[in-house]
Order: sequence, then structure tokens, then C-alpha cells
Amino acid sequence: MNIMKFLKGMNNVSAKYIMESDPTKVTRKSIDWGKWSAIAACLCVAVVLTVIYLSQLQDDLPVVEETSVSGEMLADDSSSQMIEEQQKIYYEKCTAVSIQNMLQIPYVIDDAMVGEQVAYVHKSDKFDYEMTEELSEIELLSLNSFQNAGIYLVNTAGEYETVILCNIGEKGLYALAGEERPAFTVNVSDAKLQLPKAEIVGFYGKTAGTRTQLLDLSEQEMLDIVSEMENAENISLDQAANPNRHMYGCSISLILLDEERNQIGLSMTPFDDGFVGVSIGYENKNYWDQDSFIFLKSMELVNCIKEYAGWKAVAISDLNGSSKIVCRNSDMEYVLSDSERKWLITALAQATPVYVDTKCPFDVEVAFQLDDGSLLHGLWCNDSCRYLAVEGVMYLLSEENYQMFIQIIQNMEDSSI
Amino acid sequence: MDDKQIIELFWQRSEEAISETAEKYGRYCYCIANNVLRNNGDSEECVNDSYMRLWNSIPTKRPAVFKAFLGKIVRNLSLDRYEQRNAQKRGAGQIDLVMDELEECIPANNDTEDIIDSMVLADVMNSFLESLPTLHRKIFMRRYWYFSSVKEIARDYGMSGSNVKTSLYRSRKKLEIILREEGYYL
Repeated sequence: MNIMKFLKGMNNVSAKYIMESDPTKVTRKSIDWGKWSAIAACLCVAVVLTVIYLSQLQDDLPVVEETSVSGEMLADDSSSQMIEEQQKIYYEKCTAVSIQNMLQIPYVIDDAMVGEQVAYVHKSDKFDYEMTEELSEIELLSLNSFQNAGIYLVNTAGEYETVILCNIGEKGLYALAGEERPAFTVNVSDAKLQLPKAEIVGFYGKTAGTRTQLLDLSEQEMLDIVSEMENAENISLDQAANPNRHMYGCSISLILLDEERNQIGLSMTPFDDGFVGVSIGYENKNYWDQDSFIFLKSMELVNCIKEYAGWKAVAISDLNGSSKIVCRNSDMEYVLSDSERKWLITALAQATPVYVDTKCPFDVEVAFQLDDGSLLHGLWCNDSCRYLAVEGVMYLLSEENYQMFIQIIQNMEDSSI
Repeated sequence: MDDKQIIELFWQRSEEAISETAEKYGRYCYCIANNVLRNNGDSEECVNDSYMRLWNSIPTKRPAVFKAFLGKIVRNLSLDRYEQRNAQKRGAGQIDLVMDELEECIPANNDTEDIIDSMVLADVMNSFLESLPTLHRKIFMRRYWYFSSVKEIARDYGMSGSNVKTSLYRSRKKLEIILREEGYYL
């Protein structure tokens, strides 16, 4: 039976089942605005406790390199984010669907996505919102699951909007400037991609199985990537056809703000033959000619994307040296027993590696602590698709091993009760 | 205004019927459409089309549960629109995830397809839903009727996402067994 036919056939189930599960009738968690003042008062204590907790966690684990990817995972909120939040920061609304897609921002914001208060903001002439030290009716809140992505929520009288960090904007300069940049010049039929005069809101990166992260790049590093993009050859879709190419499981996205304050997003996915697929999102469709997808050819750009996205090919033998494996989901954390750890390494050796990105709703983090102290970052899709991603490589578990891993997740949940 | 009064307005061919429906159930309709289509413009159009379909259906019908009747129209039109839009390519909304999940428990095309009409399937599904514990049934319906995300369901029922997925997995396995028993797999 066709699944769509099945779904349509389900339309005729009894009305009582439709009504009892009505999503608009469920009592949802409401936000207690009165608690914010208490939270603010407790913030200092929370920060101190977090530092203590992280110190203890570090003591428990072998020494970890500061630059390790999973250091971010175990430490959760990065300290760099906290530092940024103490500076004067501007934010831009993100309402363009294509940009939201690129950054995987949810379209509809509900209470479950609302995190903790970050700051008060007010509307700004030059930017959409500006952080303020004064009490304001507009609150900036974290967006759950986007803690390190520079994507936040603004709450104005109960109405939520997603906003993105615009940390270069405070300099009041266009990072991409110069007379050679007319107001808008991008044309997919040009031999080279030319970006418009614009501010760089940020670069976002992800590897298969990891969450979208705001990349911590200097302005010069950002301009270097733009330079690689603009020096690459723009190849027509026909000429770029290559059935034998393979996609690397990573991507980086560049978000720009042009002179007319329109957001422009360019999401770049590298391939092993030196091509980069660029998906272009925009607020104003009239800006762009023809399609919104182009191919750029540049091995330098491919390598640049892989480096900044943090992609690395993980050989299964690397995982053999895992001395500790930790699963984490929301507030639950579970250290695999020795037998579970050995089983998982064997299961991964039996799994099929796939070097592609997917849209799986990964929700369980898996950290592999290696003997040399380094950590490998993994994510498990607990949605019956059987994928466990480790540093950009997707491992498709067998049905039997999938069931075993489900049991580990169950153990994690049981242990948290 | 209660549902009976709204239905009466439809019977009187008063355009106020649509505005009252939109005011009372607009959010509900949009929620269903947007879960399928994940596009504001498409969802709004679909909801408006649903009001017109409702206008053309009442009279002659007089639905016993108006909200569910409206929900079915929205869901059906949303799935139709999804099919038209995604004839070539799968998108990234909940519906794709739902279809992936159901792939393992719904039998592939076979000769029995022609003899199964949707009413027979509805009977089977009603029996299946009746056999589920209330919470698992609600979770199943939220996921596969309303196409809510796992996170939304987890939030609404105060559960972890993993527990919701486990519940869905077990329900799907049970559905697979029932479909086998009913001869959907040959």
C-alpha cells in the first residue's frame, strides 16, 4: 500500500480519536514571567556552579585538548557565547523561510523551544534589536537546541520572533564594501560569483550528525572564505553534472545583510571532485536571476569548507581506542558500561559508513573519549532510521544493533529517573 | 458561537459562517496544514481552500463533530497539496519523517491494494486505535494524524522525546501485526 494512500485513509478514523488528541487543546507549559527576576538574581550562582561542575567533569575525564569538538558538547554552553553576551550586541530578525531552512530554525515557535532569558533588548534604528542594560519590555531568550548557534528568540508581549546575532554590525561597517560592489550584482549566469555590498552576519557550520554552530571566525577569516567563493569558477548546472561525485557530510552557510537590510544566505556543500553546491536563500526574490542554486569549482574552497565545518574522516580503527563513551540527551547523561562500550565499537565496525548529510532529527549526543585524551563527537537519531553519526560520517546500524542501542538509550532514561 | 450555530449559518448560506469558523478554528486548521506543508503561504492558502470546501459541503452535510469534520478537510487538502508540490522531490517537513517511519510497517504496493478502500482501512485503524492505551493512542494520532513533531508531542504530554519515539515504535510494530492479520501483507 502506498504510504500516502494510507495517510489519506487514516482521515476516516473516528472523530473521537481526532478530538482527544487535538493539539490545540493540550495544556501547555506557560512562561512564568515573574520568575525572571529570580533567575537573574541566581545567574551568578548558576555560572559559578556550572564552572565547578565542568571542572569536576574535566577531572573525571582524561585531559582534553581545548580545541576538541566534543569539549563544546560536554561543556554545553560555550564560554565564548557568554563573553559575547556581555558585550554590546545587535540582532537581526530572521523571517525569510529560505534562511530559516538554511539554519534549520523552526518555523513555528512554541513554548518548548523557549530557553532562558539572555538579556533585555530594545528596538534600534540601525538594527532590528540592540542589547540594553536597562529593564525593557522586550526580552532576548535562548532558543532550545540552538545554544551555540547565535540564534535567539525575542519575546515582545508573548509574541516570539527568531533573531540572529549580528556581531560585526556593531562596527557600523560593511565587511564587504568597495566601489566594485554595486548594490546588487549576484547573477548566477556570471562566470564568477560576486557578492553584494553587505555586512557579514555570520558563518554557520555543521557536519553530518552535529548541530548547526555559529563559527568562531575572525573578520579576516570570513573575508578569506568570501574571497575563495568569489575566485571560484561558476559552472553551469549542465557542465557540472557528474554522477560519480560524492558529497562530504558537512556544510557551511554564510548569512549576509545587504544595504537594504535584506538577509541573504548561501549554504555551501562540498564534493570530492572539487565542486561546491551553493544553495542561495534570500528575503527578496526579485533580487536574484534564475535559479537559486549554483555550482562553484574550487578545491581550495572545498578544503576551506571542510576545515571550518570541522569535518574529518573518522576511520573505524580510531574508535577502537575509545576508553569511555557518554550518551547525553537534554538533562540525561549516561556512561556506557564496559560491555556496552565494547559492543558499540563492534556494532560501528559492522555498520555501513555513508559520507552524506541527512536531515535526521538527531537528539542524543554520543561522546567517544579516546585513550589519547581527544574526543570524537557523535549524534544518534532516535527516530528508527538507525543512523549514528560520528564526526560527519553516518553509520547505518543493522536492525539487531539498532535494537541494542535503543536499549542503551532506555538505560540512560531509566538511570535518570 | 457554538458549533451548531456555525453549522446553521452554513445552511443559511451566510458568509458569516466562514468568518466565525476562521475565528474559532483558524489556529487549529493552520496547525494541521503547517505541520504537513511547513510553508506559511501554502498553509494559509490551504486553510482558505478548506473553508471553501466546507462551504460547498454544508449543506448537504450536517457534521456531528464540526471541528473533526473541518480537520479532516484541512488534512486531506494539505496532503493533496503536498503531493502536488512534492511530485518530484521530498521536502524537509514532518510529513517526510512520518512517511519514513511508516515505511517499515505499511506493506508495499500489491494486488490487494485495489480491494482495500479507505472505509475498510478506517475500520481497521479504529480497532487498532481502540486497542492502544489512551496515552499511546494520543501520541500515535498526534504524530500520524496531526503530523506533530516528536518534540511538540513530548512537550505536550510531559515526556522525553525518546519516550515518545519508543511509544511510536511500539505502536507501529503493533500496527504492522494488525495489518498482517487483516491480510494487508500477502
